[in-house]
Amino acid sequence: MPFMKGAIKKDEYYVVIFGCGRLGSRMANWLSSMGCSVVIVDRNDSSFDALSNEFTGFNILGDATELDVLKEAKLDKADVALVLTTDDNTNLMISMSAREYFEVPRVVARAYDPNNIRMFSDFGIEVICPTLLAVESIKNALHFIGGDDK
Amino acid sequence: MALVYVVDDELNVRRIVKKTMENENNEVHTFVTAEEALEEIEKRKPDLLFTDLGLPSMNGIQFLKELKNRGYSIPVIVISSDTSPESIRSAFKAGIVDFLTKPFTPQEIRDATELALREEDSIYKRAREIKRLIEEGKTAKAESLMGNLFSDFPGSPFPHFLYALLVAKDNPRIAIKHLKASLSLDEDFKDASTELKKLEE
Repeated sequence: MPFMKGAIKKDEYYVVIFGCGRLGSRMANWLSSMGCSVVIVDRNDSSFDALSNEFTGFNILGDATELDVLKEAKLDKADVALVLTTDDNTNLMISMSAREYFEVPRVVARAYDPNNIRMFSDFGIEVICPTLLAVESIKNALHFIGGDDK
Repeated sequence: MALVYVVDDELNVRRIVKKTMENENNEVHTFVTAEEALEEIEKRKPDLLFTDLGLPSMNGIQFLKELKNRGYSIPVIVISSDTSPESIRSAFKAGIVDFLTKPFTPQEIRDATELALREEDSIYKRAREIKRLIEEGKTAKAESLMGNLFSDFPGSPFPHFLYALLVAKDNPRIAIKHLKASLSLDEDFKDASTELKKLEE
């Protein structure tokens, strides 16, 4: 696997991000600052305003559920796809195309609903679930309530 | 280490190509316009040139023609978001080595560079060798080398031109077809047009 879990060690990865919202744009800015080649796709032109001046990648305006848009983003050459739109179903559709059709080595998607995680995982898609992350963070914040009982 | 010039009005393209080529230990200079690049080329000729087609003021095709008019033979890689068949055809007719579409990956840059430098190094040398073999009547050897030339440089006018020279005596009709193919790849290829005139007479 060219893009190993844990850390970005080379500065030449080709990363395609779907969704240029708060999360997508931040990831794009960070990956770009790390030296990765980044392509970010969104269907709303004004979303790209969230990218910083230092962003050195490419923007593609289009609907990522359309195959032509995925081809335009050269998804077949991607080391990583980050699927970060705000809709679980859209994310699943894009992620499945990335894995099955374009054979992207690593696909990381956002799923809001914890009940959807299994569907993503069944296709070898790594999932970030903001709901579960929030639950864990809140649990940690309230850790004192449990006292010594673990 | 090669001297590489990058001409593109998009900052991100200049940055990515520069970084990729510098990682391969090349010296890279970037320019926003063709005019700026030409000024620098007059002072120091690069080993390789990347250019966009949609440049402000002088466009990419005009830039390539200007390089030819000034007698420069520099391997050129076009990077463009204009992927219309007309643009690609005009660019190849103007003598480019490769055409990359935006967005592009660092690996595409490296592959195109390798192709460009290999082509610059070898096509003229190999073409000269094949021409010599044809002139000496060593046609079997020339034909065998020609096969490789066709597969290595499908976009070059040389393989068609040389094949025409090889078969001109025995089969002038086929030779004419190949000379026309050669000229469709480079309409300014004088050797091919001279040979074609001879055969048509």
